[in-house]
Amino acid sequence: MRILIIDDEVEILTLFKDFMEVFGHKVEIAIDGQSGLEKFKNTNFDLVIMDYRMYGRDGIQVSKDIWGIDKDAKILFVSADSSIKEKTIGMGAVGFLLKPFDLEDIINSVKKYV
Amino acid sequence: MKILVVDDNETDLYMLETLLKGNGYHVITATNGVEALEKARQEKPDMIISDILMPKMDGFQLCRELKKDEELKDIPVLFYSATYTNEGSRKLALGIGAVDYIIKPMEPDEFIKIVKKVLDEYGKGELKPTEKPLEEKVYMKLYNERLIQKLEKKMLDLEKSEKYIRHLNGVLRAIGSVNQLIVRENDRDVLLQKACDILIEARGYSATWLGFLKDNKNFATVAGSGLREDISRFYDHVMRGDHPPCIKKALAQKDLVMVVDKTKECRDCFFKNAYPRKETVIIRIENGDKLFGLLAISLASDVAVDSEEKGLLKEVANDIALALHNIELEEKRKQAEEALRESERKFRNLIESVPLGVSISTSRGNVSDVNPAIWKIFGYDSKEEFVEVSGEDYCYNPKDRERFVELHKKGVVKGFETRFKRKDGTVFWGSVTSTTRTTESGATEFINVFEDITNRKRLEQQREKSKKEAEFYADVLGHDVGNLDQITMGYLYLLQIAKDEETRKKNINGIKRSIMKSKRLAESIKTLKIIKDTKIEKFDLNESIERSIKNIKEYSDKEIEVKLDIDKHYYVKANDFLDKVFFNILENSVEFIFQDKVIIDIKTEEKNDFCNVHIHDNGIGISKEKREDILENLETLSKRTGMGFYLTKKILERFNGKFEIKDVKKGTEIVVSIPVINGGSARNVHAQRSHKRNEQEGRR
Repeated sequence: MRILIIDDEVEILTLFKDFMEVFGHKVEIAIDGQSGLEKFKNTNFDLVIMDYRMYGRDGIQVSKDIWGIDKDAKILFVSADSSIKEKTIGMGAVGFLLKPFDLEDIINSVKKYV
Repeated sequence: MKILVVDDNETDLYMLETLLKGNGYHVITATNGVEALEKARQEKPDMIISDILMPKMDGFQLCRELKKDEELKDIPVLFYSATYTNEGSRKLALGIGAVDYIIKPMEPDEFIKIVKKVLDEYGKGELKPTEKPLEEKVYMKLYNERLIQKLEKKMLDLEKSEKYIRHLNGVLRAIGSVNQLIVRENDRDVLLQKACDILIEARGYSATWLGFLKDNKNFATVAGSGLREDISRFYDHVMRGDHPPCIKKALAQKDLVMVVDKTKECRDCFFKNAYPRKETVIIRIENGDKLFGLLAISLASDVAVDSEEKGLLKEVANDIALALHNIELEEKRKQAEEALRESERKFRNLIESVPLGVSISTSRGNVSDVNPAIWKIFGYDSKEEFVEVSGEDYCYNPKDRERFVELHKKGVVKGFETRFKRKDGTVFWGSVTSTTRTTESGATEFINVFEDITNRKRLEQQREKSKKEAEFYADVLGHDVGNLDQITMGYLYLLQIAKDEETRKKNINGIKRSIMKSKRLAESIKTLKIIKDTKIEKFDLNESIERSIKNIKEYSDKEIEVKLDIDKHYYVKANDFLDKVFFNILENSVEFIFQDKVIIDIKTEEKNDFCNVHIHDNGIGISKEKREDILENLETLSKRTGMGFYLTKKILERFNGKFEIKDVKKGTEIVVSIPVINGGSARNVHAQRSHKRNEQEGRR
């Protein structure tokens, strides 16, 4: 499975990447929306895991751009703010994970949504 | 039949002539005895009717001359008089040959009857003198007696009428004086007493009292003149509302003037002694429907109250009433004026003392009046100086002024906020509220109220800033803490499933970093709170850089190589918090480098009393978009900036320093500028040494 993770926290990116690669996924990371979008244009991803709140452009803005490129793109939002769950699902996200979560939740989500 | 009528009173003469002609007689007239004698000789009348008292020749003498004339002696003479009314006169008249003696006035029918009878008898020749003609001596005696009696009566009549005229003159004088008094006296009580005095002094009346009412039946004040001690007892009664019958009656009645018979109506009159006559005259002093009071007078004992007197009294009463009415109007006018002045005074005081600026301007924008606060607010030295200045000069923003003028045209402007210029050119925030009013001349005026709202604006800005800060904290903390929680959870999970020691150690280090980060986040918040109150001191920049490098190496498990190019030893105007600036920048570099080896170049240079510290890394760099985001939002402060940059900015601001994110091809370059104390001297050996040590440590 090809997965793109967009999060402005480097430690999270590396953590998720290392962990998911153990499960055989091919993972790319991006530190902000702009570089994430660049990567999305160049590669076909089965799933985009994206932080909702990032410095710079937030997850909503970036997800609109992604759907602008591929309207069927699957996006899984992660956030510490539970109030935006409905909003992201409403927009078309496949799922929402509330931070903090166990790492295995993210593997389960990948199994579930893809 | 021809009748000669003799009378010096033309009215009487005319009346008799008309009466007789009306009854078919031919009438000849004469106005005195001499004329009558002549006409009698010419006309030979059938009868002569004569008055007695006449000039030139009276009736008695005329009769005597007629009887001496042979041709005229038989003509019957009839006397008709109002003057000689006693028996002596009648006797004399008949004694000298008159046929009858009629006393004026007499009913016309009766008179004609007598005339007819005399003429009938004369025609028949039956008319004979009733008495023997008097002898000359007797006649003269009787005649002289009549004359004296006549004079006495005349004298008495004259005396009486002179006295009456004197009295009326006195009353008229009194009225004149009261009139003058009314014109000049504005005090009710003084008017009252003086009017009483005048009425007495002018000798018109023997005693008088005058009372003014406060309502329909109670007196406010009473004064009298010519009443001696009786007034005090009267005063006591009247002032407590215990009115004598005459006052009760006068208050209740409609007629202006009332004559009271004291013997019948008020036996216990207070003024029995002071009022010599039994009548008292009470006059209501009223104007329109309003009864102001009562005026009572008593006349001298020998002068009667007649209609003329009543008329004069009414005049006095009307004048006094009018004066009272005018005093009342004057008092009301004075009260109104005083109230107006008072309110003007209060208004003026208010305007003068309020901290708000007030100006009054015409519809053309010319300022007509201002209060002291306004020119003080605008920093001018006087009202005159301020009034000279045009609106363009003290409005900072011409567009705001245009907008204000537009609003002004529509009428009321409430709390219009704009910036103004003081005399010295400094700018302040002010609020204007403006309202229009129409002046007495019909022109439109604007009343403008200015308020210096600099403080309020500052508070508003502070509040806005605090609000943004609060939002920032909520956002940033929500974001950063959320991430830290996730990292901790992630490492914990990995720790649980770790199979070898090395993996376990790595995960434990991750958890440690998270905890460190949390701790530093808390420290950052604390720093933001206290930084503006920290003391600036002479601070060793070189050592601060060294400590920061050491700390970042301890913190990160990445391999870090720092290349130092320090040109000299710097002492800067800063404090311990400068370490955090360098640590934050270094941490940022370390975190955003995905390579295993982190290379950071640090270079110093002095420029315009500032030391510029260039920190350049070999990381992924900050995208143009993100850099712009950070720089744009650094001023207004938001989650787009992030805690690290915001804290860096705040600390450097405290030192009057700043930082810049340079647009470089590879990696990120941040330049920190801090004011230096000394320019340093020799190239710093210490920094070179630490450079080497860092390199060694970095390798380790």
